[in-house]
Amino acid sequence: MNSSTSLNQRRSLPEVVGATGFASLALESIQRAPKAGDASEMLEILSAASQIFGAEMAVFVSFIRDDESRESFRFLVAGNPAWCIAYQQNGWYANDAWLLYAATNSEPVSDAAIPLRTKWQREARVIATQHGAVSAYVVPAPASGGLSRLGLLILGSAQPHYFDSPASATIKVFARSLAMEIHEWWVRQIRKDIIASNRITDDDLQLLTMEKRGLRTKQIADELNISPASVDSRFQRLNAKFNRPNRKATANLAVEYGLIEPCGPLN
Amino acid sequence: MKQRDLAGHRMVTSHDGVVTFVLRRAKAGVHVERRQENSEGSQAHVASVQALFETGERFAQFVDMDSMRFSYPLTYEHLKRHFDELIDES
Repeated sequence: MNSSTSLNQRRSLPEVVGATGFASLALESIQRAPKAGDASEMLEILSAASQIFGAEMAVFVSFIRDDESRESFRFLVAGNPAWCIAYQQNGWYANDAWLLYAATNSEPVSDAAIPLRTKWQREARVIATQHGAVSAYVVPAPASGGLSRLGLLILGSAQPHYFDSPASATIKVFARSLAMEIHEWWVRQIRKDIIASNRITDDDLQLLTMEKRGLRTKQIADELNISPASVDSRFQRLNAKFNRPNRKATANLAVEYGLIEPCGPLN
Repeated sequence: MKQRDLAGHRMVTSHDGVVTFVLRRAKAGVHVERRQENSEGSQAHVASVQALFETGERFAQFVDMDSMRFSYPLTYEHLKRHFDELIDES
């Protein structure tokens, strides 16, 4: 296949990161990520990167909590996607030890460093092993601003303790950059999809930003030079598009999906 | 069960909208997205899995793992047909 494949024929992590050209290949894959045209291309990048890192598989998970009643998980799988089906069918989701780790930590670690506290978490680990991730490197990609959304890159190896090596310090730098690039790319894709599928206009985004800034109907009406009734009517239309009960929930959702900035109220 | 051919995409959805597959040809095989929405009481989970399949064998393994095929046999039948057509074209 390509030069990246030749880097990882069951070699140890120190051998992989010490190979000539490792850093430039890793950097190249990271630089390709923001330019991916679609998910297929990103999957190719993810697959190539996992090979460069000496891993047999890679999964990028994006988690977004729309509100208290709805959570979304998106998996990009370079490897065996049956893993994610098993995961989903068991309903582990937010009880998963690696996701919980990523929700509160930004440090990439070997999965051996993450305690498995519940029966579900231990079962999820067994399923990961059965699908090729005998050992794994867990790379959080957190969002700023206290948002619920987070990304998580998982590199899986068929070799036990593959990532339990001082050489993981090198992988850490590159894997963290890759995770952040994929996460940002994905948020942009989701934003684009939502805007296109719901026909959200710039005026809609402006309205939601004003709601997020804490402006009241009359203030918005004055600023946009339209009637308060028009403001209410436009919010009702937006609430329906986003399937949310009120404008506050709609604006919060817009922030979670990166449609508008999480700006605070005006002083 | 609904099917739609979008620009370059094939979409298959179960009659109740719980499971949706979107397929399209990619440079290295067929790109498949599987979306599923589950509700438990007031909680809803929406999960999407996207992967590239270079061979029909790998895709068959993926489908065999999916217990939803028993609930929606017709959906999965159409899914397999669409996949076979796309992988033959790629």
